[in-house]
Amino acid sequence: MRRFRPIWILAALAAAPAAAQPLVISPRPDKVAVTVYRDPHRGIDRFIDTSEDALGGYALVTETREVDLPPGEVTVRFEGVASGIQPETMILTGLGPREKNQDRLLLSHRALLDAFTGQNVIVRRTDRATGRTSEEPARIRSGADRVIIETKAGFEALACTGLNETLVFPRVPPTLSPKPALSVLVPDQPGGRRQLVISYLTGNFDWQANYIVDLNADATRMDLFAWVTFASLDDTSFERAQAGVVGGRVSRVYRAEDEERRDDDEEEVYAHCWPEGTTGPPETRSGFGPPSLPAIEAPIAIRSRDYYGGYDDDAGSIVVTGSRLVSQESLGDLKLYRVPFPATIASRGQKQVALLAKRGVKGELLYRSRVDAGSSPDDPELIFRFRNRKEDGLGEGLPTGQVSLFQNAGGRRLLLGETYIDDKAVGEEVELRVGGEDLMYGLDVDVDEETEKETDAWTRSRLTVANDNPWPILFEAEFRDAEDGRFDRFDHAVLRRPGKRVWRVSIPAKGKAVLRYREVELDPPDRGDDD
Amino acid sequence: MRRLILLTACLASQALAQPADKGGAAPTAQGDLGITIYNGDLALVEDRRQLALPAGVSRQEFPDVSASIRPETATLSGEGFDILEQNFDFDLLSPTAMMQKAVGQSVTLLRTNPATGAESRERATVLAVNGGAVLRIADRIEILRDDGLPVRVIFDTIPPNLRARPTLSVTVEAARAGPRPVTLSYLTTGLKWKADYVARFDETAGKLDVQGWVTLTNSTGTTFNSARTLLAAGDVAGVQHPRRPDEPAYGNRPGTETAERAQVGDLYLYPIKGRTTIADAQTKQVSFLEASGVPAAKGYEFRNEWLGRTDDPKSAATILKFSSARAGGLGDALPAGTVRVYMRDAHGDAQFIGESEIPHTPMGSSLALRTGDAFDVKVQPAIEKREKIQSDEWERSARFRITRSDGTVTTTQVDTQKEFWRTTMRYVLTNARPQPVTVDLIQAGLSNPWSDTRVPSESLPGEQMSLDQRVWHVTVPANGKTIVTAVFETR
Repeated sequence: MRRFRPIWILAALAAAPAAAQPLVISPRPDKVAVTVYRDPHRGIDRFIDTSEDALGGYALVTETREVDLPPGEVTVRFEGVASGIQPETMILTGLGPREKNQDRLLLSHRALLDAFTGQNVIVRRTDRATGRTSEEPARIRSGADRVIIETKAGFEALACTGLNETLVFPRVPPTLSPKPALSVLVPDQPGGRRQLVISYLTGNFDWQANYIVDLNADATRMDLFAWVTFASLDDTSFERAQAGVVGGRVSRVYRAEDEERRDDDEEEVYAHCWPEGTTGPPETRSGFGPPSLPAIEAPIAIRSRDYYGGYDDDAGSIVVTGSRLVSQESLGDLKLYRVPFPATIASRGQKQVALLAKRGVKGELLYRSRVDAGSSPDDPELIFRFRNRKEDGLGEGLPTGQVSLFQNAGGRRLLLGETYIDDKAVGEEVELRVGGEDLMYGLDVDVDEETEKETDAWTRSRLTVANDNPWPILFEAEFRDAEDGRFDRFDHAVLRRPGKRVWRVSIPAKGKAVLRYREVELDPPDRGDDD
Repeated sequence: MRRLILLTACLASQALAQPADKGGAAPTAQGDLGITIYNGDLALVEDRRQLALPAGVSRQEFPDVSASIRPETATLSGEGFDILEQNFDFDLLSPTAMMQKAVGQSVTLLRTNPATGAESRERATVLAVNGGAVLRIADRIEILRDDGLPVRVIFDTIPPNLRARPTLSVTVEAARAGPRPVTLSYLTTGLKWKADYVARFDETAGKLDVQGWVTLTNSTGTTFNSARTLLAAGDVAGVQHPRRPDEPAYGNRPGTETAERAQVGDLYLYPIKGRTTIADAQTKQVSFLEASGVPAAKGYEFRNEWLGRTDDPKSAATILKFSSARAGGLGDALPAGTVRVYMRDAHGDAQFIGESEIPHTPMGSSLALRTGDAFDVKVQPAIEKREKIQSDEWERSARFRITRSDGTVTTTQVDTQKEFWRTTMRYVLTNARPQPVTVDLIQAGLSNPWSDTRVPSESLPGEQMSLDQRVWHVTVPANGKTIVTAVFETR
């Protein structure tokens, strides 16, 4: 039954920090698993953009590490964790930690200057003419952005002289670490080899599904192939990781830290010198340090047509040559897609693994026009519609993603258009809106509404659909009632769908179809007025 | 005009190669520290130091106070002295400030010949610093470094009020000399805490294991050494509130049990036992709660706005329900924070399935946390029919009182027939999971200005949660669907 134990952990860190307990450093994980979650704020019609500074998605990283612990109280430091780690999400299993710490004091120019404020360093000047260097001891008397040093001669500002001068520091203070590091304080324990599992959430990851749909010549069936595309802009690579992605929408809490966290220690240091008597714009002299971070290489465009790689162009059908598909399982109310082999999630990289491949899925291509009460009919859209079920050749949870639609015509594969789908469960109807005019299907379908008779209470209308294509088409008009109007008295059979009525008709090549109906006016109710 | 010069990053390889042994950090002037941290980016620091005061008036400096101190809240207390004034000097030591304070004084110029490297030294007087330093050198007037050639300016002293870091100083008058204990107390921003909960949910067993961690962050710019630390849960007036989630899920109910925690006013106190060092730029987590095997259940919720309809079915939210009661729950008051929920996947590994914010939660509360949207449970609301109907009810809509010139008064009353809108809603709930599910289907927006919405018929008995919202508990069979219809009469 229920066992409840509130525990008060004493955080008895004495005045000498971290030095009291032995420090055990775990440099890297022995085994790692990475599960990537979508950016919850990226619209379903938006592609991952790795040229951005940051990705809005995140990952759950689970690392298994073996450590040899001395007996007693120990501080264990985990190095090589992801750089975007959200430290408050860290979970440690294998030991009951008393305290978990993350220090973000990174070793940097600024952090060194701050750490040595009031202490002795060496100022080194290099003569531009002779190349001769001279060194003299100095004391830093100010903060990092406004360096004043004290030398034997007196007080002077650093880097305001026009000379080549720099500070040489005697050592790295122990409070500064080269990478963000997590440490835990482990209470008294017998020591020995222990297996520790840490897991944490980390930002700057994202994933999406990319579907490639190939319609057959008469658009009654499709071949469906899909990729899972992972992207990471993290600085840490995860070698041979057990990788997966989670489909479905996961709630995240707004983290003020993400916006607030300005890593001061990653900012460059500028010397603010006294005013100079120049009348021109201030020059900015770049020193011989790194001027800025190295530019990120141009991302692999996710939208590029690299898809052909997995295809046999001539036949236009999917030949998944040796692709191994991710496995799918339910994770609560979400879907977990697991890469079936160890995969490396490279730092600042992108990776694609096949999600599914289905051939000959039943579907239909149709033109659809929406008619809302009180307004004229929308222009027709071209839609490929299929049902996500086993009987029709599919029946797999389809995660949100981008869709590229192709069709084979005359031995050539043509792009019909690109669209996107939301998460689609098994059993759902899926509509792919085929965009783009002047591809294979020009939208040579006209929908025309004419008023036949009108009174104050109702309007009798006639909808004429003309198919100018030299082939027969399927057409649907969707009638949706609104606040101020309602449709009735259709002169053809209409289907009832949730919230709408649908007139579905086959129109021969160069043919026409006509529907008569009535729209009854409703007074919009007065809601929200104060009378 | 100021000139920005990029200082060069000098990470000499020898400095890196040396083992990180000692030093770097200066010894602190802090005394015995007591810190109380509130939720809304506010902390009370009490710093007990020994102060050796001379007799008479003296100025005492307090280095190593929080760099984010709110100086107007600083108070110094102790025996045998009076406070004359209290200063917080922001005037930071910088090249510009040095030069400005040097106006009228002499400095040394050290010129370096760019061709030969030869140095020459001369004295100069700073005449003015108004967009350029104007110097008098012997009988000439020059603008400093107007020629772009290298010149070192060497000052004889640092002006007394310029400091490396913002510093608090207090001028006191003591009756007699001698050391004595004083307590400096102030409020500071930059110290925050919140709770983070790790909830491991076992769906088949219907159990939840919860660990609660206090997460403390220090962005004050100052390290607090071996402080007695107390965390106060509850919102202090005037403090910025954390951002709340949109709308809490159905099923949250505050509790009425009292937790076994120390309280001050309405605030619960969570002490960290012993002393802890809160380093600058550190995130520190300390455990405060552990409970296992707490009964928990999963539910679904879908909320539809008034006259809401969608072209495609939309996912219902997944809700995790549990209690903070002593019996059958976590058995504690929960400070505001984030609950992260994990579940085991098919391999037995813990995977993250969503997180939710909770407010300060008294013991005995029922919690319903939205963790995400269900992939396989969807709802499509549709407006089936909407029509205008006349009821048999009349109501008074106006009344006139007319006073005629002869003094007679007549009253006229206008009655109108009530006019209703009858809206038939149809909700299609689908479930692609291999188990049946129950969805809390909520129709919101029912409180129109008249507050007389009626529900004459519904396919499933509903429950009126409030004037505005009605809920149906809809069971959807495994791999199946359920249709709910309801008729609303509104005005």
